[in-house]
Amino acid sequence: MKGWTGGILRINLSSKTSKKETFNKEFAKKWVGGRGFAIKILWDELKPGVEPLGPQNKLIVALGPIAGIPAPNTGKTVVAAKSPLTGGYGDGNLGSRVTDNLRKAGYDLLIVEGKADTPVYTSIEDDKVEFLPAQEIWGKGSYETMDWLYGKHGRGAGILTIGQAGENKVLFSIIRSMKGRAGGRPGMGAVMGSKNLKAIVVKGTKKIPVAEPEAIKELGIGDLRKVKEIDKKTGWSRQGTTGILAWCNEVAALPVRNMRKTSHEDAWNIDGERLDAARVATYGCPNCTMRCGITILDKEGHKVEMDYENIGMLGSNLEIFDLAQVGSLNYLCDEYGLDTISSGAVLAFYADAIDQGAIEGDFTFGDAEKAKDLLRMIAYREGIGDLLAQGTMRMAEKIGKGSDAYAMHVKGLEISAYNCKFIPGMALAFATSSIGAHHKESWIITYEINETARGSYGKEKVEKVIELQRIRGGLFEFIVSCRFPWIELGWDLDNYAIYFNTITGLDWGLNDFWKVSDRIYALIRAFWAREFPDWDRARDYPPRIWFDPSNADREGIIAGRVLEYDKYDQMLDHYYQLRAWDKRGIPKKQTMEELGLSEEAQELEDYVKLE
Amino acid sequence: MSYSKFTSNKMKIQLKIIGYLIYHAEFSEKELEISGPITAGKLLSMINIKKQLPRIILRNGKGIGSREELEDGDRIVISPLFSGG
Repeated sequence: MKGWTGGILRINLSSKTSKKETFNKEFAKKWVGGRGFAIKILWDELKPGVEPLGPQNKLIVALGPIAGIPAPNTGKTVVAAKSPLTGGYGDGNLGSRVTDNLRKAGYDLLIVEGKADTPVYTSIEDDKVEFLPAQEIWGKGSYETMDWLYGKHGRGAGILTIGQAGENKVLFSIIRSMKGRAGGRPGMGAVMGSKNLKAIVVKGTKKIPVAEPEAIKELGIGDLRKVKEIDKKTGWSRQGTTGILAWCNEVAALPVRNMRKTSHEDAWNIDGERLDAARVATYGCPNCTMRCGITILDKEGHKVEMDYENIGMLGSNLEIFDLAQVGSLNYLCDEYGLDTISSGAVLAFYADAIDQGAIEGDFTFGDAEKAKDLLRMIAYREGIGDLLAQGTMRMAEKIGKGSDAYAMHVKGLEISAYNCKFIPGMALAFATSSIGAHHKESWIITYEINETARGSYGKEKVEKVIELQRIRGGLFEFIVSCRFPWIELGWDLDNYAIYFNTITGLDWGLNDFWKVSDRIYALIRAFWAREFPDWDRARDYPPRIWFDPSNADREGIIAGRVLEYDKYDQMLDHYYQLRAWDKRGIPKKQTMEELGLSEEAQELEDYVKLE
Repeated sequence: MSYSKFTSNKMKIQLKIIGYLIYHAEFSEKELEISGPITAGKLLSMINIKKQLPRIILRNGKGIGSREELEDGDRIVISPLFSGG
């Protein structure tokens, strides 16, 4: 089968056994890869209600046809499982040498089942699978763990690992790779930890089957050079993603003080210009020629890679405007294996709840040293850290006193670094993201501010949200490739159809991709509804405080403005209509059938009545 | 930077450049005293931000096109079109 290895490696940690399975072309064309493979496997193999941190949950590592092929930014790996943070479908992607190594070992999919009785890591070298003791690295941070594994397996090995946070099942712990990379925000690290699995090490030596190997080599390598030239010409990677911080501050979209404020006069201290000036090194993912891993020295002198989301959430959202201190918080999250976005949101929510008198504590906005202590306490679940380790949704449930209004999450996943108290389209994008609030799927904010009336709730915004979900949450997540050449440098989307067809020998256009995207979105939503049979549209709402007039900015360009319930609700209606989902936000039976999901619709009807 | 030699209708514009465009303009923030009338597009060409570079122009926080005329006291923010995570 050209374009796919057709291989699935299933490993069981309870029995320490592995089995090679195969998938056929029909499966490949229906789900393509990455997130598509992940949701299909989790839908088929997980019983509803399964404990996310129990041995019955499964960790999926999934690749797609473009992954690992030398072409622009193909170094990404998707990790997925039922999320312990949200209770729904969870996934993430991260740059890793696992991408090419796993495919060269002969697999597009790795399914990890069961639970080891003692800490282990697994080594996959082509057909050889070993379960090796991890006592020496259990309890260690991700940097030391990776050095230890590189020492044993060589620098060329692909490694996925967790830090102490994953071991201690912090609900927003992530999976780490290549020292600077992280993915799996909805607690994928905790799923690994719950299985006593410290790391996955992969080395592959085979060839990835490709329809036109010479053509893709010439095209892919040529395009890597072209992307590099565009980057050089524009200067994008001078600031990478952090160029947006100053813009968010200008347009009143910056997260400040648990998103109560939208800009700050000191924000320039942590912007892209300052980051570029502090740079000591630059790192990137495999097959990338526009590297965004801008590395600085933190307050303690550690090298740390920074990006916008990290600085927004651990910097301005905590009112910490010292770049080296923000770097320290970022470093600690990386070392412990904590998600930086959720960590920033959790700390800000804690400070806010103390401010509001909902809980007692000695943490205040701007206190970087205390924030460092708290991150350690979260990672080890010490003292108050045990509460914070559960994320904002559960914290609010336990704290009570109306604190859920300003717990900044959707479906349990914390909102990333865009403050949407008066940006309706981006609020909808967060609220309908398929894993909970995440910007990776439909980032419409610059379109919305630049090309539409900010206060409008018009259909054009809803259409744009879905268009971007198809591209960003669909295409890039199932062919498995980084979206940055397209979003940051304007690299044409048609290029991805060309790569796909050259690799697979198929003749697909972009519309074929959108059908797969819609199928994946429908099945992910079906997964959520199967887990939560009382599903309704309230779960597709952003936090109440964004609608609260008393939370409106008092001055500036959006003074007095917040989101409006009625208009947001109409917008949501339109979203469901365009997706052909019902008013609860569940795909209709006919919609599922038209997307080739008849069997899944039948299964779903055992739990939820479908329209 | 002063452009007063072009015409006599002087106005003050607060200009903020964001992201990689600062490496084209070679500054990130300043007050310009320039002669009007002048469009946003003309201002961009004066500060070396070429038409081919995708960008967003904000006037006092709201998006505007390059043909819009600027007014005395405007705060103009120029940023790349593509950015974010």
